[in-house]
Amino acid sequence: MMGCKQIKSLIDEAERPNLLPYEAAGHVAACPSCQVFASDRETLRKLLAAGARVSAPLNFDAMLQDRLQQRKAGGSPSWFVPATYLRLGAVTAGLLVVVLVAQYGGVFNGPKPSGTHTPLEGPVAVAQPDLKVRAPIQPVGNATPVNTKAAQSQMLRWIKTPRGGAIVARSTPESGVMIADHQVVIVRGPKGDQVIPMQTVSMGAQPLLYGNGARPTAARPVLSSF
Amino acid sequence: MATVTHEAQALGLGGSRSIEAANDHELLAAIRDGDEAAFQEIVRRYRNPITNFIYRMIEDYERAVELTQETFIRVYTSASRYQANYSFSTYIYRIATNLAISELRRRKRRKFVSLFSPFVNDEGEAVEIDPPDGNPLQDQSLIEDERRKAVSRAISSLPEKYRAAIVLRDVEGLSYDRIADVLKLSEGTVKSRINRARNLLREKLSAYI
Repeated sequence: MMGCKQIKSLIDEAERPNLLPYEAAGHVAACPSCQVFASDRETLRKLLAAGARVSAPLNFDAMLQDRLQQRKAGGSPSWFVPATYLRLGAVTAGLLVVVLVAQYGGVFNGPKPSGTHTPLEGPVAVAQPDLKVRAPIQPVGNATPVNTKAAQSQMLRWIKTPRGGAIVARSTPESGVMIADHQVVIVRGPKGDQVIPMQTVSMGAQPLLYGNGARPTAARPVLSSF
Repeated sequence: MATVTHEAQALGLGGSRSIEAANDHELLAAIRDGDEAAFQEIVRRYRNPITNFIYRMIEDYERAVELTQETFIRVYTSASRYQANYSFSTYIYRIATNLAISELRRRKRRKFVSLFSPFVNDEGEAVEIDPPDGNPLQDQSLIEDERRKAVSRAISSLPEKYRAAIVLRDVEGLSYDRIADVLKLSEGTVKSRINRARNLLREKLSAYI
């Protein structure tokens, strides 16, 4: 059994205003509200359909031929479609924005040296206080060997860490102190190399080193990021 | 005398079968081949309905004629891209609808104010004023004329999305599925818009219902 709402929908959707579906006709005969609605709709639709229709002027064909000839004669080249070029421009601008955002976000930067952002698992003993590197520092991977005096004075070196990774260290020839980028400081002295673990606290992406000079500390490094 | 092309001959046009008997798809195929007579036949079939439709949308006869011509020019220039997935009438009404809606939006942006019709309706659009005429007129023709103007004003006051749907349905007599194809909407959306348009028109034309 359909309600008045459904019947009114059927009345509204009828192909002709006075040609109701069977279900609607039966209901309308017995429902005053739907009768009024059906009558109103029929009158409105007839009113709209009865509006004066306009037709094309007598010289329409001639005017159209003139415009067509003008379009053929002075039209832009077929390959030039303004809408297409606008779309191309929009796509290019969009790609440029994506590239700039990716560049800003560092997507295109090369891989960082291993060990720099290695997540820590629990307390970490970075180096034993008594670890001494006596032998010439051996490079890892494809780094250039540093067993020559010339190589040892290089500013940048790959150094193995006791944890099995590798870090980049910078040396300062005048002081003999090598400042590592990550967690340890290697001091080269007359008695050989000494590895000193340093406390680090990260603020954002930049680790800060805390230490009390060259004395080895037993404190484990603390890494925390904000 | 129109030149009958090879494909038009294959379709039977220009021979024993007159061009008037060809269906719209056959005429489009002939237009694609460069048959001017086929194009003229298409123009003859659709110039009045399209002119009337666009006029109902924008209520400006001269501009409606220009846009109708633009519609046919687009049909002619894009004949090679036409695909017979849907009826040609759907295709040409779609072009005409887009042109009419573009014209309405252009007018809204420019906010045309006619020097001769400074009065605006609820939608902010200029409407013609009809000063009283003191000459005695036949009552019936006066009533009919006033009613037609009231219907035109009421349709013009509708938002463009309702206007297109109601004109295609109640003025041009297109079916719901054809209107859905023209407007690229679902049938449910078309029915909803027509229902709302009729409710709005019912209020504006209550004096005549």
